[in-house]
Amino acid sequence: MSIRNCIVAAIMVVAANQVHAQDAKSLEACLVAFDGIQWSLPYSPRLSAGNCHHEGNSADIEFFIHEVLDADARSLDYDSRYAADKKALFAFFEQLFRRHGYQLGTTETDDDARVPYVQRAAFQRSNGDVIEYMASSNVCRLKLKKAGRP
Amino acid sequence: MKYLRWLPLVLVLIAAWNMNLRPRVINLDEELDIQDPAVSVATQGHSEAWGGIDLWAYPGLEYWRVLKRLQQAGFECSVPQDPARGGQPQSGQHTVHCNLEKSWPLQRQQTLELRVNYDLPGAGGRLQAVQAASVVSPAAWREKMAGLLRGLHLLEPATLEVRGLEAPSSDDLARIVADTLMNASWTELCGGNTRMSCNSMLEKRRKEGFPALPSEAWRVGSINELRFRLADMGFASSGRTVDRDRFLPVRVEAGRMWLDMERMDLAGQRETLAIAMDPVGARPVQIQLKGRSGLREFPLTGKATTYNDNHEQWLFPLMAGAFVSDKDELENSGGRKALWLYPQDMDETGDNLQRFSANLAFVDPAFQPQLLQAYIDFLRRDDSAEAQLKLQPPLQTADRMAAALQRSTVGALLPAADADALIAEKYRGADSAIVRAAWALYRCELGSELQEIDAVCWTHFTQSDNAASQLLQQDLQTQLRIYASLDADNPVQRRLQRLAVAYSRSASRP
Repeated sequence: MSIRNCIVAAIMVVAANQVHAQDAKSLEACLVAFDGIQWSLPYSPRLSAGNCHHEGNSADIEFFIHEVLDADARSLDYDSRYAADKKALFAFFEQLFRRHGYQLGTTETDDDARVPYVQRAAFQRSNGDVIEYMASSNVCRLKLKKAGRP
Repeated sequence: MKYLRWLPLVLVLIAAWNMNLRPRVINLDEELDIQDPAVSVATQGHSEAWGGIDLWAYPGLEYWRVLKRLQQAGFECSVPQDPARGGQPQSGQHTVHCNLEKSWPLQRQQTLELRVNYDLPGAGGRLQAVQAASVVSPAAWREKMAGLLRGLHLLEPATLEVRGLEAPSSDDLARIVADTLMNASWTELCGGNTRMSCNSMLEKRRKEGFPALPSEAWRVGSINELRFRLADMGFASSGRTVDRDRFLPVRVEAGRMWLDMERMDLAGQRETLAIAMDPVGARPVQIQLKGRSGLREFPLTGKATTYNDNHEQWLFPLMAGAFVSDKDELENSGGRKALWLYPQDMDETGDNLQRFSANLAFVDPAFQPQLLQAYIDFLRRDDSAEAQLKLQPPLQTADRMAAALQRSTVGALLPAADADALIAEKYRGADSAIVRAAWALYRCELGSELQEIDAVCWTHFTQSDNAASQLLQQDLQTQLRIYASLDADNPVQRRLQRLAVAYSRSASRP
């Protein structure tokens, strides 16, 4: 196992522990704060909820991304697999937010990556609500800012 | 001779002293450390000589407690030494001699020969047998006087077979064992800080002795807690012990796994007991006892043995005469062993999983169906917040379970037809459709790099289990819509498409 994989595995262990610290009641309250979204989690990659904060007109949730080495991904090199994972993640949230009236606004790709993928994006609704999407190596973060209010 | 007229008065005074007319001050702290009142009730009438050892001793009593009590009574004891290595013995049985010089009413020496067993669990040795003797200092007149006093029960006998606490019948043995094993027992309440409960229990035990047998199943701890508590009574496993952390010597009879234990009481009477365990959590479920009067059986409600954050350990019997060596090789141990398993190891990918899988092959074939079921239940259990809120798609859950089955080799222990029948039978309910779907993925998705889904196998699944098949198919349609924008060579897209093809092929087959 490479050092990189060791670090990823260690992060996963820490992440897994935090997931269990997240009880269903507080996770539900957090998800409800994202006005009207009928939540489900992606088929792939697998996510688990981490920290969540919601207050007044904003909500902010982190999901830990779990690496799934299924047979279809084994033939790809690390960079391609990494990008494929992030593409699937973005595709899922784009679908989810579109279904709830959001349109994709600005996107930002990781220019350093050998295989590009969307790293950041903003989704906007007609009432001005904005959800920011950010995907790092092992965390996906979603931030809601409601319109016309600080 | 003029003093002889006072002899009757002296004898009466001695008799009165021996008839417990002396004042007795009970100090609770001392009482807790020194004497269980129930033991006093059971040993009533035993000799008070030799530091009262016949009133309080029992097999398994920790040696340091024995020593403390004898020293309080004035005895001096030899220090047990390991003859091979020197120092305090770590194993085996050793003899300790204790002496006390007495001058009243006659000059003599009280001696005790203690047999101490260092093979039982717990730090230090435990009492196994006691011989007591009283040797009057040599002089003809003293020996005559000793004979006279002994005849009048005013002097301890020349020798005594110390019996201590004994169980005259199997029912009595059951009462003592139940009292030792059950939660909130004497040892629980008086071993901690629950002084009020302990006080009332002390009073009750002083009046009634050992409690009557419970009418329901005995509520007891885990098998290891039971082993330690039984060691306090001198019980030890009957089988040869090899690597206690990994194995437990067991007996398998009529599809049940038993831990056999036995002891000799201080009088040399052999007593046996056996505890049946459920492999999952090694929960104690039944106890059989055999004392002086036949076999008695009682149901137990035992606790699971757990590790790391409350995960249940499993205990599965290996094939007869086998145990797995440190090198994960099968060796002959001359007795039946059960292997401790840590199910979380089966969810990993590294050395633990390899080691775990190697061990599984040696599990008694009669217990392999139970092992498969335990593993499925383990995989199915998900206490995460995401699972409670049903946020995870069924296809992901089924995939995860199928992948774990493939990694662990548990699914391959049974012949395929037997395993299929077990899943169909044990998980036939509507709420278990996800298990059946996961099993179908495991059985039908071939293990090559580019996994193909076996068309015949999948068709059989879709035609024989509509509920599980529908569950997957509906979610598959949802996921295909969600990920429609992904390239055809994206692993998620490829995975979903393969499943979609399998469904369409099965729909077109007769």
